[in-house]
Amino acid sequence: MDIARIREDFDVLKGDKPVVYFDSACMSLKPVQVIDKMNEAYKEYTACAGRSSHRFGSRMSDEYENARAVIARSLGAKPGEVVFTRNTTEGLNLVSNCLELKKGEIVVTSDREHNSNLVPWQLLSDRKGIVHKVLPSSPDWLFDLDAFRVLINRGGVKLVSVVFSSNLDGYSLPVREIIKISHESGALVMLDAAQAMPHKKVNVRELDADFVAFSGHKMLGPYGTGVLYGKAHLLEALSPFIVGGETVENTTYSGHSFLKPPHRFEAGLQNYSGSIGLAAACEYLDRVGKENIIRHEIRLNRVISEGISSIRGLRILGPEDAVQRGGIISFTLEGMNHHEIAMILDRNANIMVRSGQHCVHSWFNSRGIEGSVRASLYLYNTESEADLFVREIKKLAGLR
Amino acid sequence: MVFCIIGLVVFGLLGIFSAKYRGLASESFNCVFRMATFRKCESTFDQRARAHSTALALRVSPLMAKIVFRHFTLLSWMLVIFFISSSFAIGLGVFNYVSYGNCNGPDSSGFCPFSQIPGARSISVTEVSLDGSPVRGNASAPVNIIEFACLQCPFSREAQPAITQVLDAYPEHVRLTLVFFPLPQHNNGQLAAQAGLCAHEQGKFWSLHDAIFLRQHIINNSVGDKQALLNIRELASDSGIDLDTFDECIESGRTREKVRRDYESAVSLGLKGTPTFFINGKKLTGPQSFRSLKKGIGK
Repeated sequence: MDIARIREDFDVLKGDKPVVYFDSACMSLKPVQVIDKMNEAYKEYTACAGRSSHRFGSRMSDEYENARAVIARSLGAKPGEVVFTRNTTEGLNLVSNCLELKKGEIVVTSDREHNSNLVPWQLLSDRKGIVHKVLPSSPDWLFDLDAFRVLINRGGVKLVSVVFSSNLDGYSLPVREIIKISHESGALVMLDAAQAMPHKKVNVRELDADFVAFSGHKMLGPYGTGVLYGKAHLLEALSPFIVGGETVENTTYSGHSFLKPPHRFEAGLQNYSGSIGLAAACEYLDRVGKENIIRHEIRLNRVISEGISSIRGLRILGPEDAVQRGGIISFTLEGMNHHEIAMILDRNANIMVRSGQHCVHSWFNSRGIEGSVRASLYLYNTESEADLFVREIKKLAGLR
Repeated sequence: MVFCIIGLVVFGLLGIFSAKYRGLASESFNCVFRMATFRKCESTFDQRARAHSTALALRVSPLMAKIVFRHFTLLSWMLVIFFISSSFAIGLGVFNYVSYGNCNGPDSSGFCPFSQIPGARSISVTEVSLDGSPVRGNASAPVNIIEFACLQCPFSREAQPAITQVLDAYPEHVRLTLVFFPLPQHNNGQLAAQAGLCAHEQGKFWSLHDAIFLRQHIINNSVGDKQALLNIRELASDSGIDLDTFDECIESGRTREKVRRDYESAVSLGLKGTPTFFINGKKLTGPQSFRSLKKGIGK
């Protein structure tokens, strides 16, 4: 993987003193190929897809459906199984609102879920009386497969909705096993793949996942874009919860007939250029090769983890081995507030990281931890940036 | 917490004129209100301020950053106290100036930056006549420091050690020319200047200059011209000056004209106090440190 060549595609990384961008788990940078593709839609053929029959309309329809096909190919899915959404949160909410869940039926999540895969189930628990069960991690931070098996075998579980890779610590859950165990007892599985899709090859067919939701903005794509993958027969069985323009085939004053999925779930005028940009991002990542990306991230993670782990009072959250944390180093430093660390790094060393509870408030609150500093790596980061980060953290630790 | 209090005052005032500060003012108010009602302040003002200050200090030195980071609350309170006392001092100065025409109070002869000396017109320092002015150091030195001084001024006295240090350290590089600027509030400054020029006629100006600055209180405490002259004579005598010639010079009043010309030059330059230095034309006001003078002469 030619990092120098890749960095050429990101304008923000050019110049004498470019930023050290370590916040890709929140928002990735965008390569020129994605931006150009989006601009092209705005500049050359802006129109309503699927409605207008003029040349611009036809071109937009073709590009939009082509984007769906590109993403489907990247996922190992059929185009009809790819629903465009605004983000992962919308995808997860779509399923939570459309899936037939009855009182007493159980939804299982892990204990390190993003708020987007926690609050919907809490609401359904209040509104419909479903049972939301949170499975605690093992003491070594891993997903407790034995406890999960016991829970599933007790019966009553309708859906297992878990994060694929955690934005808290980078740990990837054993989703293959989780899906297998769940299906054996008839439970469906939905994966929050917001942090997995940018870094890992996700083949929904091989995984046999029922639903997979992810966002574009973390994988070099535009903001306000995302995808919900659902197995065709499952999508067919869902009734949409946002309806109106585009979702219907026909209406009378007294009735309507819905379109087939995925259009049934794409209400109103869509973010066409966003979806087209997301497809360009998928192509970019597939061209570089996700196996190369994750290998590169783990190598940098090792440099950082080994460099900072000896600092007194510094605690890396998550499994000890960098391999299990992918491109994320989340840590606390005794005697220094996480927000202060992030602000000083930004102002003093041009390093951008995230600080806080990273939308996993429940995990932090249950452990009485105020927050952490999170450095998240991606394909455009370099070893010299990792070295600089280590030096700066050591310098900051010396201020205490 | 400290920054919330400061923020409430500062951003509250700025918010009157500009909407962009109102959000910060509101944040400060919420914080102060919560503190006043014994609840935890939810603002991150202090964190942001500490991070920003530490980052700035880190660019200077890690030690400074360490001090800022560790003692930020103490430093913040010190700043608040300085801020309040400075505001009080400024207010008092303005009140004195409005009430008495002098920012130091009715009976003070201290330097007041607000006071304009009448008769000011704009000239350049190169137009100042240095004929007959005392010079110390190498006459052909490339750097000329022109000092406008009042022999009765405590700040002019305070400036002397650094000046001497520079002249001693760079004897070939720098010379000093003294121009008299006897300030109106110094009642014996004019007489001291004339006496200085009389000593200069005997080539003993710098001896008298040093003697006066060494025992300046004698002149400052003199009541009336007669006592002042007696005290200056005493200093002149100690400086090895021939007193008969000295007396004759004072009585003739022939140095008065040079002192007047020097004074007018200072006024025309718009100077408001002493000492004022011009180092190859660049102006420095007030007593300077050795480091500052050294930088000024390009060393």
